[in-house]
Amino acid sequence: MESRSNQRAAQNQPASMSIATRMMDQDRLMEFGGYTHKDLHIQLIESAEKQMLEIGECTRIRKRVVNVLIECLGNITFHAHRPSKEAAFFKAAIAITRAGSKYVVDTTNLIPDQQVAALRATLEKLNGLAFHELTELYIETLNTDRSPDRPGAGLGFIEMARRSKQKFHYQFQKVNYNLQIFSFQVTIE
Amino acid sequence: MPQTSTNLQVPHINFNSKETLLILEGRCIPADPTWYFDALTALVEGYILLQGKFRCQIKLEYFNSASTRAIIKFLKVLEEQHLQGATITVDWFYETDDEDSIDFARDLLDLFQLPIELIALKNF
Repeated sequence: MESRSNQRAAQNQPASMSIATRMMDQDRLMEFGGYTHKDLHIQLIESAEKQMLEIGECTRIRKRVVNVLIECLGNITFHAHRPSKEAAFFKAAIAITRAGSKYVVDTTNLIPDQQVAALRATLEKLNGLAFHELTELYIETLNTDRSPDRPGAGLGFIEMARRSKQKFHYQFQKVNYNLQIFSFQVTIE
Repeated sequence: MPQTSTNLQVPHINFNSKETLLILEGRCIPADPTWYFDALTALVEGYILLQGKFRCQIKLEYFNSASTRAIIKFLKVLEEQHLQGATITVDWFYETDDEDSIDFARDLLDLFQLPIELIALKNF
């Protein structure tokens, strides 16, 4: 556990220094926190891929990590709470961490409180399925037409669960009566 | 063509009318790919009606789940034309070391009554 003096020192650190410290301690490939938008996501995807090529990661893992990142960024683009309907920018945090042979892609964003129950139910359901059941659900969903007024393809979480082959980790934290923080982690090995 | 955030997200289109060959190549990761595939599908359908034949090569490095749905819809249109008598072939390229891409390619064979040839490449 961190001592109180360490905690005080951390609190007094400039924001960029605490990010840099975490990046060095935890083999962080990427960390972004702040107002984001879809054009920035393209740069993040490019950056993640180039870094993984540079460190010589194998094609299978590199493509899994980048694909999961693409889906996570797609999810936050569609579902993150925005200050207004027209707002291009919205708050989110995105990180990719390497731990041995594993990579963890994690995103955190605000979501409207009324979306939480359905999202939690989806994630719980997917975490309870075996790989062959995920594949069946994927094919079934692929063959089902989706209502045009529903954002997203309805495939993203299933796709990530298939690629990850591990359970999702997630948490919700209430901010106020109509918003929650949604934090979501996908592990790739 | 200048590199913009939009055209970095959709595949480059190369059409060779002499060989009736359409090549889609690159990434397909827009949040909403409908505009791209609806326009492409309309052109391709018109072309098949005129020519009665069509060949398509799809070489996608990455595609998001929204694009998966759009690709499936595009291939369904090709399947319909094939079942109505047009000569359609699809070459689907995948990277040899990318297991997920191989799985998806196999799913395509199960989903469609369409001549789809799976072609492995070492690297895209």
